[in-house]
Amino acid sequence: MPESLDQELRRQARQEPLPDSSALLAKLGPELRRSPQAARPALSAWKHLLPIAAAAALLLFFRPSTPLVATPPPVQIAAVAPETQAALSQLSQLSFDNLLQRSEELPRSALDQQLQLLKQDFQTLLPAGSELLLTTN
Amino acid sequence: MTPAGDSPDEAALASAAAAGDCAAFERLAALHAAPLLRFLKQRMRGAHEAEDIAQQALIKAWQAMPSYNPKFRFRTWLWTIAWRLALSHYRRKIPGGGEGVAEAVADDSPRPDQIASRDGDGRLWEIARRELKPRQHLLLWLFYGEEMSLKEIAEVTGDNALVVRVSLHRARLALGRVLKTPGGVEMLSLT
Repeated sequence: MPESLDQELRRQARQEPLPDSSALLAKLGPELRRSPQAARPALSAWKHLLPIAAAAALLLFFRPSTPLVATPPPVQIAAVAPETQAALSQLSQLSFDNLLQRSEELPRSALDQQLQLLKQDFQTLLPAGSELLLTTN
Repeated sequence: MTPAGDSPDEAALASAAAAGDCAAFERLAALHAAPLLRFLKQRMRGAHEAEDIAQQALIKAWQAMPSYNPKFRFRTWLWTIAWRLALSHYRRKIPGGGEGVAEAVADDSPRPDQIASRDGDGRLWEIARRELKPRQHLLLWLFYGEEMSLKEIAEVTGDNALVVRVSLHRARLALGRVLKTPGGVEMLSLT
């Protein structure tokens, strides 16, 4: 008996004869030339648009009426709805909620610094050449 | 990127074929046609049916090459297409779908006298084909014969890798029982 069944299965599988495929290959060539390839999927092109789509959604959260163009009008943080804040918290490493809560106690310079960090985070999502403006009341 | 198991040449041929190079695909087909035909002949009723399915699979693969993901082995991808075509073929022909496929494959098993007339080499696979359920034979062949990983087998059969692992284990236990090799089964190990 074989010393191990799986070794023997492997060994005997390698000895299973291969059928003659010449007839198949001879017929295949002309068939291939008659069969056009499917169009390359366009998904890869859409992948490049995803960050732009995310940025567009972000801008719409801030200001639904704001057109998606370079240098949008200033954004009012205080006007951001709670559900928008939650969505932004997920998108950014900086907690938007936390920033709003602390806006009362933080000095203006610290708040501005936090806003700049937030802006940098979001700026990476925007198309090249466009700019996001954030201001506080 | 060269997927595990594909030679750099094969990966280059697949890449060229995906870009529309028909000659590159023909060379790729020449590498895989005989093993594919063997795989299909093992589990289909007639040689002509197996050749038809193999040809359909190769043409379908050629047409779909632009969407081929080079992260995966070309062989796994081609076997997946071929196996699905074989299942569809039998589902159309035999009422009852997958079970019908099982019966069709079982009918094509060699007779005991055919097995006895052969020497030792290759006999184990004939016993497996005769004694095991077709699905068990399929999994064993993909694992040992085609040397596919559990994940690759799952791709081909449309199962998840855990189901494949358990089913493969059971198939080996069943073969071990048939062969009446006490202790033989314990020597097996999944990799």
